Amino acid sequence: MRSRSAAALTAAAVFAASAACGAQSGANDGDTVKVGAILSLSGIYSTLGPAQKNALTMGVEALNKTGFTVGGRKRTLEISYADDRSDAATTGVTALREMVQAQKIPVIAYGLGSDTYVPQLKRQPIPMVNILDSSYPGILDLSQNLFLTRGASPTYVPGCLHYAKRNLGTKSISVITAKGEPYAEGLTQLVAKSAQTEGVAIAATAEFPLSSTDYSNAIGAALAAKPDAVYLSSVTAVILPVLKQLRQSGYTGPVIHSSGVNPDQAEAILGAQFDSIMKDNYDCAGTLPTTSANPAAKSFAEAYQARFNEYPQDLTMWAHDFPFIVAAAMTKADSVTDPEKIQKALSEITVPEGTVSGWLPGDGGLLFTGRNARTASEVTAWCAGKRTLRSAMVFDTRDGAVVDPVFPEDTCA
Amino acid sequence: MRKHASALGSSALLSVLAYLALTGLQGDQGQVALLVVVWTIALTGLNVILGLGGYPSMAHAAFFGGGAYLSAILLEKGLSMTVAAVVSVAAIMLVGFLVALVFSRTRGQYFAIGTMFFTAVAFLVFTNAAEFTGGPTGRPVDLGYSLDATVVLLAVSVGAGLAVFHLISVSRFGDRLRAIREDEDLAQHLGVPTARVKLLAVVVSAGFAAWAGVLFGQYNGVIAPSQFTFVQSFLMFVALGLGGAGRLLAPVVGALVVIGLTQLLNLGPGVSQIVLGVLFIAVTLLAPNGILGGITALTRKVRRKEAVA
Amino acid sequence: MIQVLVNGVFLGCLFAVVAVGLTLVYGVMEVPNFAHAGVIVLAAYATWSASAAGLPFALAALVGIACGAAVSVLTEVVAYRWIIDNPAAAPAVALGLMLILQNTALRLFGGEGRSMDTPYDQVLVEFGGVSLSGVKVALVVLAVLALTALHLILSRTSLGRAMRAVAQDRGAAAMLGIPMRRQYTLAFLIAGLLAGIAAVAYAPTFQVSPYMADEVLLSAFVVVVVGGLGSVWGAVAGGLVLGVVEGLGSAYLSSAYQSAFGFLLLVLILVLKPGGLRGATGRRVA
Repeated sequence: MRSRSAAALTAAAVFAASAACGAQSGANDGDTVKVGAILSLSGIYSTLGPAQKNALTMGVEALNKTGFTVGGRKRTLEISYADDRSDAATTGVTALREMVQAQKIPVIAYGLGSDTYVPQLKRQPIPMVNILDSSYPGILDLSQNLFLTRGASPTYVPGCLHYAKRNLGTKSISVITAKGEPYAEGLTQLVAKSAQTEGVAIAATAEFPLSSTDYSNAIGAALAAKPDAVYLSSVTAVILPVLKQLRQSGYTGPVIHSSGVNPDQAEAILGAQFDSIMKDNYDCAGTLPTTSANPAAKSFAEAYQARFNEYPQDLTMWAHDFPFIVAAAMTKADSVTDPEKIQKALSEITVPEGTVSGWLPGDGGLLFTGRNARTASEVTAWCAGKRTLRSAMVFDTRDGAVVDPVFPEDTCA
Repeated sequence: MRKHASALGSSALLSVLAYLALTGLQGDQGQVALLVVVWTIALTGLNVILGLGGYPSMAHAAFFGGGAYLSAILLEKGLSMTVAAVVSVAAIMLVGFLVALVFSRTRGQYFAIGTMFFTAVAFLVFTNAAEFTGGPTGRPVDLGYSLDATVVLLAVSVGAGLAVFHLISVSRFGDRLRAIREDEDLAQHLGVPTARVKLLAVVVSAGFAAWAGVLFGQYNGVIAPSQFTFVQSFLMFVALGLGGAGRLLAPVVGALVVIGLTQLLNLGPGVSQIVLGVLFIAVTLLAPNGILGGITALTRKVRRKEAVA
Repeated sequence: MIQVLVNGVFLGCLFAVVAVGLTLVYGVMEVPNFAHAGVIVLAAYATWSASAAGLPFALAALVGIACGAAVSVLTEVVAYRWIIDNPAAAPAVALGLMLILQNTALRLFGGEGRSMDTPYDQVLVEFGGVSLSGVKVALVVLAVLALTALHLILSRTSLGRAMRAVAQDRGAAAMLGIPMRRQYTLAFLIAGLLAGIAAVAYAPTFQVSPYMADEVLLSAFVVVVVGGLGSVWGAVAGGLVLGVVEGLGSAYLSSAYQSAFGFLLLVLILVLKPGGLRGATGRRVA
């Protein structure tokens, strides 16, 4: 029986030791203010996280050049990063607890997994600013603590159908959806709605399970209806393999999606033949900094491209602006530690100086209206043989229909 | 009598420790404490079928997840926590009964493969029955009792589970399971109702796993299919083997080693699992009775030497 | 309908190639080789790396197949060899090896999927209203070639006859003076070659990732059980049956539950016939 007591004692020692180093003091008592960011740096959504981290780094550096003032003291910002490994429910929630309970961080930027964070937010509320998730139905109804810094899917999906009808002559479209992926399922609902608005027929809808690797059934069903175009619902890392098999199965027509794929990702995921596979591809999402008419966005795009040697996605602009938004809210709240005050201030700030996204301000110049800040949307097209994208249509939406569409000239040539 | 006192005493001590760890640790370390406690409860069940009976059940993560999902769904439907928990555990035990009915016809490798496949199918259900389970990204779980009460339940369950295991282990049921582990054909020949005993062992282990799942969902507040894959079943199997299958405290030691390695040491992606794989093979080859078995053998050797000297 | 059947046959060929590797190892050594999934993953990554380094596809494929064989033999030399007398430890060692191999791939290449390019990527084969992408045709051709070659080796060479003798009865084979060590290594070598062929053949459609072989391995195990552990022709027949069952199920019922149809088949067979379809020819545990 001695071994049993020994084992119990060992267990006790381990518990006690970890309890002892568990006690930590609160953050943010000095001039450097620490906030958090939970991003998908690895896993299926890793086409998103690293780019966000790059842009956040640039945003923090830009902000810290001048710093910001709270409580009469000059402050600089620092971001504590965590990787949710594309699994918010497991790794993300743990990271959130670590930041809130152990590091006492007052505000957090994040990407996916809003609903899985809600139970923890109920236990210990802090403001969380989403810099990515535009899924439909929107995330903002889930909790009063959530803020969203981009237009949700309903602000850009109508652009896909509008452009397809007007510029590609599409009369019927087949939709292929990643089943169970919230962003994908929302997109598919919106495509159905806006197809009706635009008078485009849905030729067929097909689904594939998120974990599958052979999409032949879904592709077969989608193509059997002989559509003019195919819409792929989901994010970059999920739809590009489908696109590859779609082209392998002999389909050569237009392909539309809302994934924000950039040329680097296309090459990484599709392999050597990426250019021929990406031919006749159209993407409707937020505006791209590279093709933007806004000088601040353009110079950000150049700096980003030069520094990271990578084509900046739409989401990089929102990530870049996060530090400025936090600084403005902390200044307004006159606190760098109190989550409640900072959350209240977020709803009261106007569009901060130094941001690059081209925010469309609400009534009274406020950045957030109903906890949502947004920018214009855009349809982009792949430039065959050029390894780049061009802006095909910039637009806004009202009541589910496209308004003020602008068609920039073809910059591929 | 001394045997009982020692076993029940350590069980109670571990309950107290679990409580201290759950209330004292925050953030990452809090998560490790939660997982160690929950795994200890689940592994105690696995210790019945795998440890005493020698049947390599790979269905454990499925039972674990089943309890978590079912209780979350029932709570959402408006049932009280107590009812939801009892119904969930009972339902998963019934599932365990069916699994056992099919696979207890098989032995060894067949049993491992069959139950592993069962876990893979359960994972498909967790992932694809999105209207109930929230799909691949998981779902939140409503808190049934208060958080404090949940912590107490978790801590009490550790000790109570170990105590129940001890009682099973010294009962006739335990003896029969050990007989099956040693030589099933011989056991049957000697009049052990092997089919019934195996069935009961699987059902008991499913009950433990489901209860652990209920508590995990409650305390964690969110569950996702990635927490209940067949790799998790592997890791549970590994944990018990490392601890020393069949021994009372193997679940505690196994959970500490596996969770500690995968969660505490930040070795970069995959490295902790490589280490676990190497460790597991080394223990299997060098100390077939696990870490606890190895310690016992060592102390015995030392004591014998002392006696000689 | 025919299209669906053809897809099922494609899946079946894949399952058969993987399952034959499993069943060979099981036949001579009684090991449920979970690590086979890791061998496939590493072979696929080797092909991908060689191809990314600029090697032509055929050479890269050979590198991958060789890598599969080497890793498979390595698992035997380093781990399985030491538990020959202790079959109860086999599942544990196999699981440990699987953790090691898969996570080595994760460590070396990261978790995101990689795309493998082949010269026949854009080929589309059509006959009688059925179309099959070049990648899938290549897999079927490779599977048939590999399994025919294996059949010739097992039936026409003395090495093959020795191996079958070992699979039939280890004790008797040892008494007849068949060098057992060599048989074990040989079984793992052939299994590794088959794993490499499977990897090269199906990675171009499926993406290369550390978890690419998980579902295939599970299905292959079902095949092995259906065909009877240790039976090569049982594995081929079982593979085709399972491929068609999963193909039909995923096309007409739900593609999300594809491998669940394989599970149903497994349950049915275990309930009706615990020894497998051709259990008599192979070694059995139960």
